[in-house]
Amino acid sequence: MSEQELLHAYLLVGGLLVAIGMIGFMVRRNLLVMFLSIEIMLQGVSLNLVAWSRFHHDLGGQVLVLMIIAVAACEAGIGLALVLMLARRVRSLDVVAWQDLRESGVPPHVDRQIPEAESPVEAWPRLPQAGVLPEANEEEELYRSRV
Amino acid sequence: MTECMLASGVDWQAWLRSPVAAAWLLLAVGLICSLPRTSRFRQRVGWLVSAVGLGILAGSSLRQTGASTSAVIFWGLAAIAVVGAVAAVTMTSAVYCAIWFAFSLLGVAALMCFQGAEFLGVATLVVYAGAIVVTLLFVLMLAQPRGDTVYDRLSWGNFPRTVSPAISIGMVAMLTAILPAALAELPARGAPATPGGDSVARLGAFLFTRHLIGVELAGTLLLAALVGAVAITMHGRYSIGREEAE
Repeated sequence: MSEQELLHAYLLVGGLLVAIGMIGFMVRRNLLVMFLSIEIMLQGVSLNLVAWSRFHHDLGGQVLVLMIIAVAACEAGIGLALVLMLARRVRSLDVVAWQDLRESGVPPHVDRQIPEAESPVEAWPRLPQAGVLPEANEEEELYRSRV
Repeated sequence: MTECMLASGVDWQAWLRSPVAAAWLLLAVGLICSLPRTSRFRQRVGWLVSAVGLGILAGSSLRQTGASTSAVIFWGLAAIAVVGAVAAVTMTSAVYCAIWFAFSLLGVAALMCFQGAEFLGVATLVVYAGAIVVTLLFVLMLAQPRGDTVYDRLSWGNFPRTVSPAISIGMVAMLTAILPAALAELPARGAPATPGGDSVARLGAFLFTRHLIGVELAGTLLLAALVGAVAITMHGRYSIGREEAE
């Protein structure tokens, strides 16, 4: 492949990644998946920068990608800490749980059709009871972690 | 809008009749069908349709450039990156999303190495796949209720699910249609002077002479983010403890 064709192909793939990330950010409701979509968009931009850097024989593009990686790491640290805190408050990763923050006058989002929960197939092995039930140690219950 | 399209020097009618336009259309329709929804069957059909669209895109580009070894390798790596990204966006379970994202990262890192940016490829792999995805899975373990949740299977509803793929894919399709004419105006370039070899050393020298302040700033930013993340989680823990105490 010549340099022009290579640049064209890289711009195509980078654009596709940005588009897919944008779709994911606008459509998904899970906070973590929205975060992943942003990262996919950043990947597309990085590919574009690397392609131009090679085409112009200029290392500035690669330095910019390094900065993008550093900022993405910061963003991941702070963003995931925020997500964790939000998820602890409402016990779900749903963005709709925070729709009280929307603009005034906008009607709230209500799910039209709620799919039935798929019952997971749970085939646990059955063990015959044997031995005696251990005595409950109340002192141990006090300090044992429930996680 | 029309003037812009005329000024771009692209024969839009011929483009609309070309297989590339059909490929973009297939990709958009496939994405619309495959975004999370209640019907698993439609989702599988959507994956199939978008795979066909991507295949036509890669095939038409291969036909233009000729199927040399480097072109075939490039499109294989690009397929890994793009298929991983599509799956990461459309999977219903958040854990699968994270794992497909890591798969897509492998493709992107390989593409960077393919282009002579070895250091960036390795850095992407270490920082993203090694650190971010693991942190993400960790948060997922702490926060996600088990199984597929209702909000993951619903997303926002039909309107955003239809309009956002149509607009995003349409935008990228039009921009890439303009590309060949725009790239033809650029001066032709040869391959980089020293392909491979000491590219990491050259990048390091460039980074620490021209962009030293930028490096220092990035380091400061990382430190600040570290302290910030700790502060945020600590604050959350304290306030929850207080609520429980009350």
